[in-house]
Amino acid sequence: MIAKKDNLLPAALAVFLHVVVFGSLVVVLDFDRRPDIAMPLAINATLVTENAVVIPPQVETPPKVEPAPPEPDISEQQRLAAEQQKREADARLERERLQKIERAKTEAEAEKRRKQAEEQRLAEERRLAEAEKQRLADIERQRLENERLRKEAEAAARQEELDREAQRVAAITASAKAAYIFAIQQKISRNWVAPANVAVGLECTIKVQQAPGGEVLNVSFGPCNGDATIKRSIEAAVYKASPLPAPRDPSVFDRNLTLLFKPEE
Amino acid sequence: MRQHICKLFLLTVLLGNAAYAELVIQITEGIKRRPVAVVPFGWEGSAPAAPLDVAKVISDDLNRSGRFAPLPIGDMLQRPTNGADVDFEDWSVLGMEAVVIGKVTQDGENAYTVQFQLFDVYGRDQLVGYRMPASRGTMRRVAHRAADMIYEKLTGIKGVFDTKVAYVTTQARGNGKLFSLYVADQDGENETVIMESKDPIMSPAWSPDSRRLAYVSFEGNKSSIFIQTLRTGNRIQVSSKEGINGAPAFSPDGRQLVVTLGGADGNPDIHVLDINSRQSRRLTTHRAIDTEGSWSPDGRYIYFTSDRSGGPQIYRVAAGGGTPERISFEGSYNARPRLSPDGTRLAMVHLNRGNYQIAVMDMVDANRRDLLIVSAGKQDESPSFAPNSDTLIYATRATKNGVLETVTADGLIRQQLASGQGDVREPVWSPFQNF
Repeated sequence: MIAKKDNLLPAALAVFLHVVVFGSLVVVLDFDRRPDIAMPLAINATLVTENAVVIPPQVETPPKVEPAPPEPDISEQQRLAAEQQKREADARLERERLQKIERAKTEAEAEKRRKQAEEQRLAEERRLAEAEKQRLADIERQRLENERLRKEAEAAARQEELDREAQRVAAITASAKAAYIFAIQQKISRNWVAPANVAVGLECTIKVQQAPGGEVLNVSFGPCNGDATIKRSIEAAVYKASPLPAPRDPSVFDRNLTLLFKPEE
Repeated sequence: MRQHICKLFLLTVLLGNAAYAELVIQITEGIKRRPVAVVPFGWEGSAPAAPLDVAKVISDDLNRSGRFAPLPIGDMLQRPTNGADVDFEDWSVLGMEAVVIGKVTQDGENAYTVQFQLFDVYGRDQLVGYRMPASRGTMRRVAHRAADMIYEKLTGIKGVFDTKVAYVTTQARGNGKLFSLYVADQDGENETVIMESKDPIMSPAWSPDSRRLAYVSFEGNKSSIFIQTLRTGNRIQVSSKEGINGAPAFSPDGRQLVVTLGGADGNPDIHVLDINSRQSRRLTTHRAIDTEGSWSPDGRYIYFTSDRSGGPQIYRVAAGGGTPERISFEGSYNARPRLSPDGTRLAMVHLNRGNYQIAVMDMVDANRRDLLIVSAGKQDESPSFAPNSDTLIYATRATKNGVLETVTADGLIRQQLASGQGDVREPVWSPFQNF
């Protein structure tokens, strides 16, 4: 199947090349002959004679012979005879001229038809070649498209595998991180003495900077809807929780923590 | 189960790294359970079915650990029993991380072979696989062992499914009470009465080889310490001195007990008792109460509770004797110290805002000793580490009765155990069973 398809291109190219070569020959001949058609009267006699066979000799009505007046005079008769001869010669020439024109016309007609046919043939061949080219291009495009889809699917599968592997690794290390966060959260909460005016809906973001040993270096407030008393109590809880718990897995440690306080009930 | 995190208030910690955004979710929703599939095992034998649904035992173990979410059997696209039949694509589509398959083959009247294989769906290869001989009597243990191997492969933490728990229950019986000492598989199966009495039974403790239990009995209206061999039921009385005989714990070599003896003057102190010779050696002499002694796994220290500073706090003293050193400082009440078998954590009962809860102290850095509260009850008691040091068991009050709970030492996974009759107290987790 594939081998066949592969052969198609060279074969088509060969055919196309032949068409082009022979077609160009025809076109060259064509140019050579064009002047003949342009000079119908300058054709020499040999050609006429040779082609006379093709032309029915009596196509044209022969010129009528004029009834000659009686001419008693010999010289008159001789003159008349000469005239007659000349007329006949003229008529013959005229006939020949007409024949020649007719023949040239026919020939031009034939040449035109032949040329049209040739052009049609060439057009057909070009059309076929074009169709073949199109077909091959379609096949190639389809192949590329399939290749692209296959690569995309492969990449997606690979990515999925990577994602899930990452998830798996995350699941394994997540407990270490989760445990660390839980421990920090709990130590601060244990050290928090809630003021009497804590209302439901309190929400405070604070940023805590800690030293590698867990010592709290700085506490600053982000958005917070609590009053100064509440802020002080939260700040005190963080400092009282210092040093913050150390993670079992040191890679989980982070110097900068963002804490979100949200009392419930 | 995760509610305790939010009850007081929700404090979300966002670490500077953007990747930590997902961790916030993990905190409030608990540890994400990993999807695994345990395919029903094949059966080749004369009876219509295997004597035990081994796959169910494994699946239940993984589920109970809180770290895995086994796929319901009905959702399985295939149920292979041979490794060659495992289509990883199918399991991948279902989002499974790992697949367990296996079969039970009958070799004789009461002789079977249990075979299991664990496959990694991503890596598309086998992680572990074994064939184990079993009888009808041992098949459940064999299934737990398979679960242990699977769990360790997937988490890096040793499994404790093939371990036991001892505990004391109290039930009303006639006008009085019935005290029972039980041993059960860690999943609550095979509950067996070790000792029953109308007088109180207290403070069970496992020997390091997990073949014996020491406990305190008040039979005859006085306290005595007994050591009972589980297989035979034989027991010996090792201490019945005047006054208090309490709180026994085995030394790591199993030859000694640390006990609390009250003596004639009624002042409880820590003693070390040689089991063979019955000779005891006094370790503390303070006039305050010193009790609840336990050995460090390396045998160098004995940790105990003392109220010499006013309220109860944790102290430790060199096993050979010396000056006690205070260990706990946070809070007004810290008692009943138990070190994890790996020595990195110390569990205790901690008074937290009026509630007695289980706390775990990090012992890795002597300068830090971070304390983490891992339980959420009002009257939690008697923490005891599983032999893998990763999980603890303790008793908590549900309505009137005590029930058992387990929690991971990081406080993230807490589970209630289906426990036996009446008021369940003083659970102690066995060491690894090496027989």
